[in-house]
Amino acid sequence: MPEDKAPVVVNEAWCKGCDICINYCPKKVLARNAAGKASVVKPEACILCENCELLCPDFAITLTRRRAKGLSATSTSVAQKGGGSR
Amino acid sequence: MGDIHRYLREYYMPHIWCPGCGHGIILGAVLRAIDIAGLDQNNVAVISGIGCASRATGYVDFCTLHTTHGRALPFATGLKMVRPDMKIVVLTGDGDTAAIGGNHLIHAARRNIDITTVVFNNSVYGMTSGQYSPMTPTSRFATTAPYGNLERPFDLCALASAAGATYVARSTAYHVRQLTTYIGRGLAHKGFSFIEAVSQCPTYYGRRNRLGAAPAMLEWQKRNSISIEQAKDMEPAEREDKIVTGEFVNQTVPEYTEVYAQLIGRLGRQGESR
Repeated sequence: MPEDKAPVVVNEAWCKGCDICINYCPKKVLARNAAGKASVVKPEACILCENCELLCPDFAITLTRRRAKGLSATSTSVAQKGGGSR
Repeated sequence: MGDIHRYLREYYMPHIWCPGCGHGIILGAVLRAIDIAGLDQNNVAVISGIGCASRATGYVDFCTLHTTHGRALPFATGLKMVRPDMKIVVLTGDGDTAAIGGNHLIHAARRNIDITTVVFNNSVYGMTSGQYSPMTPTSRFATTAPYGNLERPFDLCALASAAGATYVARSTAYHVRQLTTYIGRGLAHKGFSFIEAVSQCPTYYGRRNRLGAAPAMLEWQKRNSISIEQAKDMEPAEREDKIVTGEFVNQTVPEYTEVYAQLIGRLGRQGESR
């Protein structure tokens, strides 16, 4: 996967437009599109924090790249590790 | 961390849960914990009862049993007895576990049978349109509590601990990383593991109680969660309406199927020596 491509992929068919990912993205990578679904608007700003992927209730978000070291599902809370609060 | 989509029956997706329902977040935590534990997908059985949470078994690609209301643990117990080599995971809701299945919960905990139970606690019966459950906090609103709930909710972790569960922890959908860690520890633990995962129901509980949409409900979980250590220094009145997160019990006690196998072994040897 080339580095310039969006590291966050939204499966629109599964997305129900709950806005959780948009709220918990610390870098405003995601926004609501005309269909009411999440879509990637600032791919270059993504810091690979995984908040969107971990908090998506619909399995609709996948990261195509990961940090080599650091964050993983076993670190403690979103707030502590991902800077996820608004 | 691998891609958890390989544990999903993708042909049944998107799932039936409402937009913003916390159950999907919790199910994701379960799948990530299973992935991190490196369990053999074909040697994991996921068992559920009835209710929103219990729909989870339909979407996951393990050996699955979607059973009757409140009876996930009896089915799980039966399976564990005949297949003690299998990793047994019960996914259940607060109504399923604390109401109709409450008796099964305390006895599974008492026996310390090696089952990992994850309770998706959204404080309400979502599937049947939002009646109050044994986990609805006092004075909160539900379809059947239009003037506020008169009853007191269970402290489910205290109940499981008192009944003898040997691993007991609580976290929330918001604290998904911590939740994944606790589920992972529950999977690794030999004995009855009980993890309460506080979920959000924006459709019924959130709307009735004016808690806002799903992101606001997650913020509520964040704001109202306190650790066990913080809770120790607080007055009971201060702790009201708070979610106490952390690990309450983690101890080693003889596990039921092992004790049973030992008995069978002993009786077998006695039979041979006769």
